[in-house]
Amino acid sequence: MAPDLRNPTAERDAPAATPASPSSSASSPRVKAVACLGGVSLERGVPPEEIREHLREADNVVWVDVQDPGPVELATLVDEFGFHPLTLEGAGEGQRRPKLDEYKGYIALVAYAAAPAAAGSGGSHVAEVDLFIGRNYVVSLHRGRVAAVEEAAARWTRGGALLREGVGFLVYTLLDSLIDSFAPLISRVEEDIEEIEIGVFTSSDEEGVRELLRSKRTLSGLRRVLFPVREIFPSLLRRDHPFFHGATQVYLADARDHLLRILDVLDAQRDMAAGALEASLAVSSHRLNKTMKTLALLTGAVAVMGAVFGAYGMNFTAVPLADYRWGFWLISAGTIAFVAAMALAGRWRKWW
Amino acid sequence: MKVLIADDEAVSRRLLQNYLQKWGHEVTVAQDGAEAWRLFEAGGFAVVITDWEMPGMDGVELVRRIRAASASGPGYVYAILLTAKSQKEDLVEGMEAGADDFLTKPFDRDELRVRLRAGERIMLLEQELRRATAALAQAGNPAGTERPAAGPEDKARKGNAE
Repeated sequence: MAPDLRNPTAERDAPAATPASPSSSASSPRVKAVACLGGVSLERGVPPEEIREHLREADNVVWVDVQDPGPVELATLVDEFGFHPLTLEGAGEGQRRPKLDEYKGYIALVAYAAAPAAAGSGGSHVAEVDLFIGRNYVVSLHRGRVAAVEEAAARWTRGGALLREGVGFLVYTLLDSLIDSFAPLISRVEEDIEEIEIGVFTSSDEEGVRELLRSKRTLSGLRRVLFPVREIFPSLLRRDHPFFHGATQVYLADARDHLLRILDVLDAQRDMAAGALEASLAVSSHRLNKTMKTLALLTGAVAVMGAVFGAYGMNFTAVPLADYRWGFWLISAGTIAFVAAMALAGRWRKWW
Repeated sequence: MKVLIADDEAVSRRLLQNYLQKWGHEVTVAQDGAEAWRLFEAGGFAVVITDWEMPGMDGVELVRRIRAASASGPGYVYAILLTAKSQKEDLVEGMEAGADDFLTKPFDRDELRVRLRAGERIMLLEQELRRATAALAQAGNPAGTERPAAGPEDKARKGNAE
């Protein structure tokens, strides 16, 4: 079955590609801070009062991950990091288009991750992840648990010598994990479309068309949250970027390549889905034509029999062959022969 | 515990010193292997945390010397190699030289803390063992005849048995 890009708590036939609504995952805020100090040591669970101290040194990199931020957390971010309140408005709620805005001293980036739906709901949804990137920090905001963010944390902390590359390597692990999170979902959609393609010629039920439309909706939803991310990279890969130097730009370029590959696959799948839908409609039309021809043959047979037997059923005293000993059998045999000839002609022309 | 830190990188030295002092250890820092060896000879360190690559004497050579000295010295010294090297061969080479533990930079602060605690437990066990050996020697030889001191292999065997 095609994964549905929608709120896992919604009904099955709700519009697809709906990001997880904040209400679906509303829970208490959770702030996690990890710091890499001078590329030498990693500190997890850094208390808020130490974050400011760590940020003073340019060689340190601090990642603050805020899950389900409330008004208090957002106000703290405005105070501590100087973020513009508008950049935090609706953060993580899944209503914003992926984009990158540059402000004085930081970048605000909106991206999405694929997230598995709640157990038993059978679908998938996308989750907005907002990144605020500074000279030596990243603040990430999202609603609910996002596996891609956890994956990024694991990759970053296992980065070894790459941690010395500063904030660029952290941004790379985050973007790459967010982009890669879509790969399993896309591969599932591809499998579904292939299955439906095969089913078009073997099965006549309408479930295939329904699945196909669902897949098309999923693909459109994915494209809507992934396509604009392309526009983010030219700014990140700018040669004179103050936060990322040459070494990390190679990694960011690699993340961009992953994205382009995924977009290519999405386009190919969209074509596949459209082709399968066209094939399905053509097969349905062909089946309808055959049915119409069979019905036409049946109508012809009934009309012939009706005409002959109707004529001989009339109350005239002089009906041809009425007095002939084999008259009844002759007329019956003639009618049957005529109907059989029509059936054979239909068969010969492959109408049925 | 008295801990000696040897690292040519100022940031590493500062961070390690801060962590260890926060965890209640008595810390001495050295900027390279030669200085660390001089400080070590002055004595009394239970744990040595050393970088691998340093100008002059490197960390592996320092560990070798410490191991040779502690075999005939008054007590065991727990040596941790803390290095940017991360290959398995490096780990094997470092441990072959006599290091008790191997951590890769950037290291996890909490990991260092628990590994150091494990080292502390081993040091305590070693001290207990030394005391017990001395008590046994005294009980079995009241006349005061000298018995050969337990070598590092004997200690390790006893430690494993415990």
